[in-house]
Amino acid sequence: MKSKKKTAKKAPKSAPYTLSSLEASVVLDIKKEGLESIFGAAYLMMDRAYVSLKGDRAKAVTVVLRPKNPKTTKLKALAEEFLSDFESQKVRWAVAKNNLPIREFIAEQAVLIANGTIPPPAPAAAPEPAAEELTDDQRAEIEKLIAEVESEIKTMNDKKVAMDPKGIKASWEETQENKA
Amino acid sequence: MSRLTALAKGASVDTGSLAAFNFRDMGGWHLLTNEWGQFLMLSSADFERFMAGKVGVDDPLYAELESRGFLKARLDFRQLAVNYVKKNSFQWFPGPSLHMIVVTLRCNQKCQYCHSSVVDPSRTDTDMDVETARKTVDFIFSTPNPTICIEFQGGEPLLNWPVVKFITEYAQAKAKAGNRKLLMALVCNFTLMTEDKLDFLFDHHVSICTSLDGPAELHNKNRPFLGGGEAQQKVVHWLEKIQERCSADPKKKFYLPGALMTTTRFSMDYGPEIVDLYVKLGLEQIFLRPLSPIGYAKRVWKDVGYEAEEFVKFYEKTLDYIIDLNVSGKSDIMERMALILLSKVVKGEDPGFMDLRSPAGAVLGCLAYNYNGEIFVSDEGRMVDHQGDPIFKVGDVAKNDWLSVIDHPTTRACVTASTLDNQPMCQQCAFKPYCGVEPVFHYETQKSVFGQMPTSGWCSSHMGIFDVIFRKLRDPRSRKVMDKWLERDQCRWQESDAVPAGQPEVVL
Repeated sequence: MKSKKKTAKKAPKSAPYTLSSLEASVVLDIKKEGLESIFGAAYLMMDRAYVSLKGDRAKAVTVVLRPKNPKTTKLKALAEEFLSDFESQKVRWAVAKNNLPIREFIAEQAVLIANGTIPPPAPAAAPEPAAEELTDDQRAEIEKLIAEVESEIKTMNDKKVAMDPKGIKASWEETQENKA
Repeated sequence: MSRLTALAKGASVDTGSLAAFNFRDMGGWHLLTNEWGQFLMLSSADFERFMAGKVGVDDPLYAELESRGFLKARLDFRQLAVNYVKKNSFQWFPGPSLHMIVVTLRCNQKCQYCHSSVVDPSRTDTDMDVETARKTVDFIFSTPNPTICIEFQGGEPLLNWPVVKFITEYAQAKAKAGNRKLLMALVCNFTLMTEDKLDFLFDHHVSICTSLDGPAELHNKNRPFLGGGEAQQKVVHWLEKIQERCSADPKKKFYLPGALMTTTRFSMDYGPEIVDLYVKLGLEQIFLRPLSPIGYAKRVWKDVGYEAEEFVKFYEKTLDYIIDLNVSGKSDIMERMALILLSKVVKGEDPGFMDLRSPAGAVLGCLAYNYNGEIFVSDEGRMVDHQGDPIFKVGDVAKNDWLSVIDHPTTRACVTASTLDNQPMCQQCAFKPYCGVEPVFHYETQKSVFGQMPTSGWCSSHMGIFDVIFRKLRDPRSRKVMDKWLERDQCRWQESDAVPAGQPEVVL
């Protein structure tokens, strides 16, 4: 029986992916792109494709996409959807990383407010006048405040955290004994 | 495009100026949310300017972005922390508040989907005995949450009425002695209700909830009697009777019964008819809930189940009908799922709904007790056990204490899996501040307590419902109706808060 020759479909010129008869492949530089974004975009494809990652995770990986429903999914569209999600993943991860210390600080403040260690802020006063363009001094002051907060977070993280700070493991009787 | 949605190709982004947030392309406009529970609905043009860092201080949008915590250099840390406390209020009270007791597995109905995986009425060996009931209440009162809500479930709990009475009286005595706040609720099918039982429930402030799937032809198809007969007529009879008694006595207004509907494939064509029946019976709310392929329902899914997208279509169409009734003044009935999400989104509050929390309600918010004293992370976890898999069992009231339950490896697994920051897709989802994942659902459908969100039916249906709700919030006509619902709901809770600890009160 004559075997069917599998011909690779050509990707458009300068496309950052290659297409075979069954799969789409994208080669990505780990150092430049970051592993989280690649993992993130690959995970998001799982409703439409089987995804495998090959290569050296210290250098470059090839993301191989094989559609779950080859009859209705075009490989070119699949590769472009992956790249679109990948670009968004880079932004989502950059924003998440930039803000990690601030998120941790606010969550820590929330715990302290909830357990009564620090009081909640007083009700808002009359609205402030509209914000104007910040002066260089004001900008410097904001930068200083952010640096202080980040330093405070680092100090808190370094402290040993109690194993059960909220007393979740304590039974009702134990919580009453502690109050007494 | 993935379910999360993506940025436009070549979009300009200034990541340095952006505070922590997630976004969603809603088709013509963008939704922005942050983990402090704030949200903004921006035109796509405004979204592009925001992402590119091109919103200047004199721009009207600047103040809005600033006040809601979307500008990194202008964050009010303390206020955002306060929002976080309010939004996650369930986290600050240690231990579960909802305790579901299955007093029997026996039932006189054979529902198409029966979640509760029941047995024949002759199987009295599946009734909880008084000694186990006492130990169950003792265990419940050893958990540390100051507020306790006991919910009777089954099977059909009225088939083991003596134990329902015992638990009610014993728990109320313990609440009084320990100055604990106690709420009690009975979920039953009404087919075995009598005037005497109703008197007892009224006298002991036990709220009553039943199942009503819709018009007779639908309800009786979904929930037939064992051996045949008309189940829906019984439900309607008792709903009317209780309404009558409540309206004759203003003190009993909190006893107005609630009803829950379960949506099967057969319900899909009945949206308006189901709502009309609820309106006719004077019910204040209807809860449009999807069916979960858990326990027995998983086995019959091909007969009664549907795709998540089908449910979302049904939900939107039926919600539209309810909103139309409100706008026209024909009824002021509220939809419960919408109300839960609106409390979270608009008011920034936790409405106490176990399924949509991070981490989920399993053990931290609720526990389920089987007739034999076994303890499960949730009632769904107990249903999985009934099918022969005890994975969600975390203890036994005769052998274990609270510490061993909270420290149980299954508890830890459920908490870890249902914390949205541990879920690769959820952590980037615009609905994250208001959503949750259910470990039992994902174990049953995807063989992992973590699940795989891009292919999860849970995620599809909840994302779809959130999309509907946010679209309605952007529509002034629907928004007006929804704001009224929130106002009414607030009044109910304020009246309920007046009950002192140690006194029984009614679950709203």
